[in-house]
Amino acid sequence: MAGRARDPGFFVGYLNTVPRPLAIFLVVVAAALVGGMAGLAFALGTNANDPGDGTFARKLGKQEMTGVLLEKPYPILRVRPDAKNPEARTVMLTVPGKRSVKRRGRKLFGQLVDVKGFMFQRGDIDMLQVQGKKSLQAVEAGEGEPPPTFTPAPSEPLGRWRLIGEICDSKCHLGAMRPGDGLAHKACANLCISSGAPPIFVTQEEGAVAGETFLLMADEAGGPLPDHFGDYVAVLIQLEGEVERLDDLLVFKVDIDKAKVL
Amino acid sequence: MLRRHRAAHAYMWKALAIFLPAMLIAALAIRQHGPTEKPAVQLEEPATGAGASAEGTES
Amino acid sequence: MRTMSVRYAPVGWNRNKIFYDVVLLAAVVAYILLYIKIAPSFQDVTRPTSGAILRAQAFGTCAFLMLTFILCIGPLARLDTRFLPLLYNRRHFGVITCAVAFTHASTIVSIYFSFSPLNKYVAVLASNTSYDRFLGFPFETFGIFALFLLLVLAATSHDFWLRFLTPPIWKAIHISIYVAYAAIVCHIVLGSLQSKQSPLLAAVVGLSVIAVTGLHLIAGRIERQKDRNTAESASESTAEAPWVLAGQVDDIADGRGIVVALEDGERVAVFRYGDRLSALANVCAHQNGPLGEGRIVDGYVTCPWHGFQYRPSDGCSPPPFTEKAATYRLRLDGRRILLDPRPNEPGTHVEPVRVTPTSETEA
Repeated sequence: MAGRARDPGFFVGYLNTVPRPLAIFLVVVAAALVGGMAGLAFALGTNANDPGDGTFARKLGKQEMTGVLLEKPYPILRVRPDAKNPEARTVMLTVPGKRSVKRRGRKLFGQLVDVKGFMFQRGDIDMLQVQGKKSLQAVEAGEGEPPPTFTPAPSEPLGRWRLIGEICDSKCHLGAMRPGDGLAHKACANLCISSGAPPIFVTQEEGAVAGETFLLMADEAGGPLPDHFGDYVAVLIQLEGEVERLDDLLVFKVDIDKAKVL
Repeated sequence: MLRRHRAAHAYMWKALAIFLPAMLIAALAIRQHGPTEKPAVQLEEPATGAGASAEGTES
Repeated sequence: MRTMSVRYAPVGWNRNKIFYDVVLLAAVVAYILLYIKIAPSFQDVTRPTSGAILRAQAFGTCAFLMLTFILCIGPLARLDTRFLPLLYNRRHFGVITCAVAFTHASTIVSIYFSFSPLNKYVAVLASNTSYDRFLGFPFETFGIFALFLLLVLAATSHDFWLRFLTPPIWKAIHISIYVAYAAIVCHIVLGSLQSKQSPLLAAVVGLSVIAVTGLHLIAGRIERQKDRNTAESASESTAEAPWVLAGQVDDIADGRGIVVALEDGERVAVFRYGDRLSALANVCAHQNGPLGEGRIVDGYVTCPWHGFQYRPSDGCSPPPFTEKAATYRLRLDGRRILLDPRPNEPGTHVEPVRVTPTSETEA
């Protein structure tokens, strides 16, 4: 090193005198470091996948619905049509945090209930986050009136389908997080689903079945997925199963062990 | 002392020079893009007639 | 008296360290602010990425880039001595990187793993257990492992620990930064990289790997070549055993040294100061810095890394310091310097060899 053509000077850290050529060099390196980091921040920061239009629709205000609360495959509400929403619909349910409606609704499954909360929305699929005091309770009969009833329409079979897509947790994917899919988000999705968020199958092809891209998942008997679903979450897989329609919500009943990772 | 450290450094970087690019290439190779040529397929029509089950109306 | 290190203050501040840290913090702040405040408005998205996820991405990528730079400093300084000052305060760089990585991890834990019935730290480990596959592998594990190493290194990155653990053990522990880097690369390529549609992140990781491994391999190769050359010329000497040829007097500038590689792989620094020559082990007792690439400052051999000093005649640091380097015997054969390759105990006095100036440099 002694043979360098031009001696930049010798740096001794605890001496506050830095030889001038070396000082100039170091200032250039410092500027390059700060500038380079800034450039990379901008490049990487703007380089985002489109996480979709899922959102926690607080601006819609608190929603109130009445319908039959069902436990399987995951907590859903078969909403009774009313003057404002004349079409029957089926809404997936969640509660704040990564928890299930099951605890709050355990005595109410199968009954007609009043539900209050806020919506998660993505495209034309939505989900209600049951939230607030008295937000989930059985519909009481008025004095002297017969108990109110509502029988949801039977499910409509749509045949057996082979679909390609990704298993996501409905809550994140519908707007609790953007992005709420992909492998970076896998552990979160696993945790959400095992904590009670309904898993949905997001088809790669837009509107793959009857115009729908999102299908609520169930096992072949219509119950929740088995505990080892986690291996197939967040990866692109091919699955076969029966598709049924509950009002506006499709249910994909599959044998998860037959999933093919693509 | 220093010689041993030099040897350890050299050994580690030779190993990493093979391992890290291999890891990166493997990770890029398994990246899923999805076969767009394989759309959703209906394998069976819904059973006609009494196909509607009571699914979803019980708990 | 200058202060190398004798008492253990948390940080022995000086102007250079302050400048170093200000630049580092400026780089980190610029990176984070641009990433989370400016860049999102240029994203081509239906709805913006969640703020917390953006923060996690910003801190994560920032830590990776910082670690890349840290790892490049060593070989860069071997290839061009002008980078040596970046080594001087490298441990602050490491500690700040650890803090940035920690922020990334705690952000992730607070958004992905909180609010469930499970304890959030249990959830980190329990949520994904697909260890039997590549695609969907719990890449978080690599991140946790790397963060653990970074925390250990940051916690021990002080001269107290260097002295307490002894330099060989300290150095051995701190080599694990390479393992941490490898773990972080795995963490990224099995995680974030799998979710990104654009190749930019892959390109950044690829360039980082190429720069870090490439620079280390090149610097290592050049050093080995240099060692081989000096070892060859040393053994070619006609001097009787055990003496070997260390070089020519006139090849050493005043106040400078040369590095002589011995056949057994050890290196010796031979210094010329005025009309005298002395030889010390080429290993600084502090962090194994290459003494032979240092200079004579105020009569002391001064390490190019952190400025630790040794008296050339006996390898002892000036009081109150207690560092010692091994000394070697020298003798002259005309203008040739001969070296006895057997080291003396560190701190052993060896009478410097007197040289007469050459006729052309002195009238």
